[in-house]
Amino acid sequence: MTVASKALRGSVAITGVGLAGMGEAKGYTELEILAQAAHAAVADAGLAMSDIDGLMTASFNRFLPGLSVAEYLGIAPAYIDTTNVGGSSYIAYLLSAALALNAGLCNAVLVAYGSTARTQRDFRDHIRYRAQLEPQPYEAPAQPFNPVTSYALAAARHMHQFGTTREQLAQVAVAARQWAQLNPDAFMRTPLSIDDVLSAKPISDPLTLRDCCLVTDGAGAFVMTRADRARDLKNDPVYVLGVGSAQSHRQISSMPDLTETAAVVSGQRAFQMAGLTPDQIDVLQLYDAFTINVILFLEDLGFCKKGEGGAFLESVGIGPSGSLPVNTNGGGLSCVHSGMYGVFTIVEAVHQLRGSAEGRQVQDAVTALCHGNGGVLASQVTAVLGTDQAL
Amino acid sequence: MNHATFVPGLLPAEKTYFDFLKEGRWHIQRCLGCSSCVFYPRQYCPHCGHAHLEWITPAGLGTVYSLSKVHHPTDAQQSHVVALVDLDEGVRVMGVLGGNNSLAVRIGDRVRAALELFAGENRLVFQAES
Repeated sequence: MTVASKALRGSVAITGVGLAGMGEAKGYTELEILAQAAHAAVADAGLAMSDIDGLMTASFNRFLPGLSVAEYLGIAPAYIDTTNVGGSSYIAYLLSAALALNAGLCNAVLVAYGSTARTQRDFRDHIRYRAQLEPQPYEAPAQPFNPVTSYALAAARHMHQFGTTREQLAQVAVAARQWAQLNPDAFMRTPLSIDDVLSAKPISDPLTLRDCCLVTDGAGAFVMTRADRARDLKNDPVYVLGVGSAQSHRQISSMPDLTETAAVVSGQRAFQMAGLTPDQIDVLQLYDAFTINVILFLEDLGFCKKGEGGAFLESVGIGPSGSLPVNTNGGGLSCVHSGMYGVFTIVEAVHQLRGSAEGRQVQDAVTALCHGNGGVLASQVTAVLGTDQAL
Repeated sequence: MNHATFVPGLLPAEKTYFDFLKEGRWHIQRCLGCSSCVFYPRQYCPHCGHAHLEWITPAGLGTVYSLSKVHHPTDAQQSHVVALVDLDEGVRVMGVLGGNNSLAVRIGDRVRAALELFAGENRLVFQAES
C-alpha cells in the first residue's frame, strides 16, 4: 500500500460554502441553481468570482461540465478537474484541489454541483436514458432496477451473512429523519418510524422507498484556498487533514464481496494522512444513498467490526439523541439528493466545524469525516476535516 | 514503421459471447495462462493479463450469492427476482430466477442455469437444483 503524503495535511482549507435550489427549484435550470450556490460560496469566502482560478465540477448529464460551468459563470480557470467517479467525486476533488493549490497552479478553487433531478425530468426516464448511453450487457438481460437493485443485493447479502435486520436498516432512515427535523433546508421533515420504513412501498427487496435516498433538486458549492490565505479570509477555515480514494468495480456483479467496500482502503488512506483514528472523529457525514450504506461505511471505516454495523448503530445511536452523530443535515435519505450527494457532505461538515449548524449543532465539533460513494458501492472516497484546533 | 498490430485469430470477446447465446449456446472463458475462468468476457485475463482465453461450457451449477425481488411499479405479476450466482467454475453471473418455486429460493441454495428467450434474446435463468 502506498504511503499517503502527510505533507498535504492541513495545507489547504475550505473557506466558503453555499447551497441553493434545495428540494424543488421549479422553473430553474441546473446551471442557474449551480450558479446561485457558487456565488453564495464565493461571497461566503469573502472573495469575488473573478478571484476563482480553479474549477471542479461533475455532472450526470452535462457532457463537458467544466466548459459549461466556466462559460456560465464567466470565469477562465487555470486548472480544471471534472473527474467523475459518481457521487464521491466531490470528496475526491478535495485531494485534486489540494494538489493544484500546493503546486501553485491556482489560488482559489471553486467546487460546484447542481442538478434539477426532481423538477426537470422523470427519474425512471433518466435511468432508461443512462442505460441506453452506457449499456451493461451482462446485467441488463436480468433487468435489475438500478441503482436500487445493486444496493438491495448488497443489503440482502449482509443480512444473510451477518444477520443484519430490516429494522436495523430502517433505523438509519429514522435517524436521518430526526436530524432533518432540525434542519430547515431538509426536504422531508415529518416524523418517520421504523414501521413507516418497513411498510413503505417495496422497490427491490429488502429495500423499500424509505430505504432509498430522495430525488430532489439541489446545488452545493465550496471554495478552497491554501491555508495561509485562508486565515486572512472571512470565516474560520476548515482544514483538509486527509483524503483517501479507492475503487473496486463498476457493476455490482463484479464487486468482489458485497459486504465489504473499498472504503476499507479509502478510510485507511485518509486516516493515515490525517494522523487520526475513528474514535477521534466528532461528526460523520456518510453518503447515505441507501440505508445499507451507513451500516457498510461504519464497518469499513473502522467505527465498528465488520458485520456489526447494525447492532452498533442501534447501541450507540446515530441520531440527535445518540452518541455518534451521522448525517446531521438529514442526509440523502431526508435532506437532499439531486444525483451526486458528495458536495452536501462537505457543506454540512463545514457548518458543523464552524459552529454554524443552527438547531442541529454538534457541541465542540473539531474534526469531521466526509465519506462519499460512487456508482454502485464502487468508488469510495474519505476525507477528514478539522478546525485549527486539530492541526 | 511502428503500428499497433491486430493479432489475427483473437476473436472479439463480447461479440463471441453474444453470438453463442443467439445460437442457444452458453460459454464462458478460461485463461490459458493461469487457468482461471473469466466472466464477463474479456480480451485479456483480468487476473494475469494473458491474451489467450478459450471458451468452455459451464456445468450449469452454482450457488446463490444474493438475490432481490424487483417490484414492478404498477403490476405485481411482472415482479421478478434478480440473482447473483457463483458458478462452480469460480465466476459470478447475474441472472433471473425462474420456474415454479422461484420465490422459495434463498441465498446459499444450489441452482442450475438454463437459457430462456426474453425480449427476443436468450438470457440466463436459474432454478432450484433439488
